[in-house]
Amino acid sequence: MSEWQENKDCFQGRNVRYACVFITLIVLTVILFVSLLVFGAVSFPLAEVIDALSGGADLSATSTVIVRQARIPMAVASLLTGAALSVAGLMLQTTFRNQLAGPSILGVSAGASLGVAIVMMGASALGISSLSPLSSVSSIIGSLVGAGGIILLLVAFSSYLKNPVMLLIVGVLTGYLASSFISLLNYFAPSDDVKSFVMWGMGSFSAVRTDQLLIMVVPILLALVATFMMAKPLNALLLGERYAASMGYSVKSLRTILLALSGLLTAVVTAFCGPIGFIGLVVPHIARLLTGTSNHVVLIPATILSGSAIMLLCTLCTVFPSAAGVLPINVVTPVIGVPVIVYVILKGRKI
Amino acid sequence: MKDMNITLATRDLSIGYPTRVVARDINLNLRGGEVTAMLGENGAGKSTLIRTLIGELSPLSGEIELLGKPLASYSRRRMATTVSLVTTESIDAFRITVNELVALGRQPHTGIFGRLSAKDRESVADALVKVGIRHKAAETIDRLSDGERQKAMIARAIAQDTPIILLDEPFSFLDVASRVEILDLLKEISRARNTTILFSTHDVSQALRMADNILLFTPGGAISQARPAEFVANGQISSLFPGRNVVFDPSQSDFISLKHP
Repeated sequence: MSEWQENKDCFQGRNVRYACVFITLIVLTVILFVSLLVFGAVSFPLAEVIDALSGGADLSATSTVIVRQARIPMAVASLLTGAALSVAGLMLQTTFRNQLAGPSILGVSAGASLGVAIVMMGASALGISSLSPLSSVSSIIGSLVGAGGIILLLVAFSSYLKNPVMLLIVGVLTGYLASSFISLLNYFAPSDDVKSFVMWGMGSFSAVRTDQLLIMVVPILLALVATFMMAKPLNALLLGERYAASMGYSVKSLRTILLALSGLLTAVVTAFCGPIGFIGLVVPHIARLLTGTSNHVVLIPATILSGSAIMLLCTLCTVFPSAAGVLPINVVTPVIGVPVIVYVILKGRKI
Repeated sequence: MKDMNITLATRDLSIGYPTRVVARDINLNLRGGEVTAMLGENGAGKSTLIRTLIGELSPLSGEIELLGKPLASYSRRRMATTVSLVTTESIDAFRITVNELVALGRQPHTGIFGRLSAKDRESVADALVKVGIRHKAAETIDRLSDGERQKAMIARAIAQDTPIILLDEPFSFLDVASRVEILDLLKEISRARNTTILFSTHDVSQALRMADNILLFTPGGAISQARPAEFVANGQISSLFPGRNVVFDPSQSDFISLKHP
């Protein structure tokens, strides 16, 4: 009797912990989102930001234009990118049962980059302006094709990828291959294209324009909803592929769906904001540390929220040294990412 | 007249890989409520047989019938409610509670989000009580001993609520006490729920003492099924390790050294 009571207390303890984590993350995300609207090269008082958003202020006022045209897209893109990359990393880590898996480690980001490079630098060779409305759609397609190619490669190699070290090697090699092709493209492309590609490659949310935002938001939201539906099979995969199969899943199609979903999330983000490192690898570990569970029903929303919060924080760091303009995002992410990877390698095992 | 209690039967079954036959002419008749132990050297085909019975490998020839129907006619979902599996794979590498682990066994019975009904919860609680780890329900599995973790995995299989449970070396890494406890547990479960239980082991004496049936995997690919006492009486058990420096001693019901008997 007392044992069972203890048990119940323990379960309640878990639920209280989950509730605390979720409330904290939501509050943090909201605060960071608003901060990103308030702070920047020029900081506006909160009231002015609210006015700009509600349409109470003059539409041509500087603050309205900046908040609506620059800061909203940047904040929304950060929010979604954090969620998308993190949850893609979570799916990859469970699929490969490997705590070092992630879109950048596995070379998915590199593949997407190569796709974008071909589009950005190949387009001008064909005489298409990189500012045309076609360009964002064709960047997405290039990014999808590149990420898809890497995903296919990963499916082919997947039986070797259970070893963490093998996985790292695959990622490093894919990265080298992609950058060799990109160097080749750089060599032949006009210098304007090279500069814009290099800027894109350092990762930035400031390139996302309001009119493009929808093209980014819709696929990511759809993929995030689909991810929630994968919580049950992801939990089955925790036990390994044989157990998953014995619980009625076709492991092959399951793995294909999960890789396709994480590839899609990575590709869309990369097309708009560049190859952003570390987030996909690191955030799932942070979510596990916060919640103390591997249960995907809890972990998926926790990963999405922590990813959004951390990405917003990184973006905020890039806008603060305002004199220099906006820093590239990949300047900040390793500072958060590397310590967590070192921690994971030293502590080992738990996915 | 067909024996209605035969849940798992094979006729002239050959198992293995396209390039290599591991065992042939396997004729099994396993009944509900019975525990069967597979004995054989490493590589004799115990795991291959389990892989074939759950549909992971296709049979090279012959037939497999589960509950009187051919294995090939089973859908994935029906298979998941007919056969459950316990393997030796390490499952300590993540953090879920024992309760969550056992609840995974309900997956074939739940909807798209895996939400547990009152009946599902009851059957999880029931399985936890059966294996005697209800007091650990809220612990995460990385904090269990090897024996407790294996019990939790068996509870997961029980919660899956299938008429057949297959266990691939459930006793590796376990001490003697845990082995005896778990085999006892398997016997109780098979009796109480009329479940067919088939497991592989290297512990000859324990299998001979406690199992209802023995499947003897002899080198050369022959597999025969009999009661433990029959194998001991007809001396067939001695053929388990031909050419090795061991001999079967009926008084100890175990293999002993030829050099230092």
